[in-house]
Amino acid sequence: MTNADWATLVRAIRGPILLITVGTLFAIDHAGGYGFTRTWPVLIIVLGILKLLESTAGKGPVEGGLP
Amino acid sequence: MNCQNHPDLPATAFCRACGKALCASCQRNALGTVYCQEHAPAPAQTTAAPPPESPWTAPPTAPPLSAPNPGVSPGLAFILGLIPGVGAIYNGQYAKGIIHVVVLGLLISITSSGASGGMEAMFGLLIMLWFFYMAFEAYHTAKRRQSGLPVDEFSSIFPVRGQGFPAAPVVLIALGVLFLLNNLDIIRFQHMARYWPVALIALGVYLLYARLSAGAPPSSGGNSHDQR
Repeated sequence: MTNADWATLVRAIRGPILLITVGTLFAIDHAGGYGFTRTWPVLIIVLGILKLLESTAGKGPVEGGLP
Repeated sequence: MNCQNHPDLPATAFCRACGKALCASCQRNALGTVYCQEHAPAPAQTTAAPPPESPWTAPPTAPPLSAPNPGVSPGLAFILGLIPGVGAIYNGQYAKGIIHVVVLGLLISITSSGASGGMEAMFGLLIMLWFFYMAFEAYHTAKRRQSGLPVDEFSSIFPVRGQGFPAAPVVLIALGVLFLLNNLDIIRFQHMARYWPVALIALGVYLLYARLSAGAPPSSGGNSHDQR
């Protein structure tokens, strides 16, 4: 997988992944689990992981494949 | 009426471009209508865009502007940018406008709902910072558009793909973990505050890494004359 492919993949999945995360957190909230007021830092963590993946695009081939 | 190319054959259609009468063997079907041989569009243009080289669909990007666009006013973009999301919409970046509004809404919700774990003051300042970030971001994007530079749909003031140590993602993840631990009552901020000098140690380690890594770009502090 080339770097350009990897960068494109990360850019492509960024929006959907964040949307899924928001939906999951609200679903947990509505299901009676942890409220969104307590779980919102997960969004920051996911955003950081996505940024980290994106920054690996300029540094040679990626060892670990897709999760 | 007969075909102009073959006078002995009856015409079955007329060219859309020139009106020439055509028989069945002369007409060229393209773009859902009939053309003569001279005016038929090139078949390469009728086919769809070539398939992308990567198997993933990239998010839509704003069309790159090749020519300078004097109609774009950075000042107007700044003023509109004070309204949440409108500055990005002025620049044609609709998705980014939505993201800006969502981030602002999240910040206000966190502050007003008491979910910030006793850090309402910091989030209040973040809201103000975000307001002016949106305005300045719209200003800079408008300046890029004015001078004809290509603008990404999700462009930001900060360079996203740096070459050095990925500091911003690590800071984001660390902040997220800290707030999550606090919100889930695993480690409270009051207990963490006891260990704040660890932040100084981490900063020192990062600076050490930045100075010692060969070929690293000079730090943004502007000390271009660093002696080794």
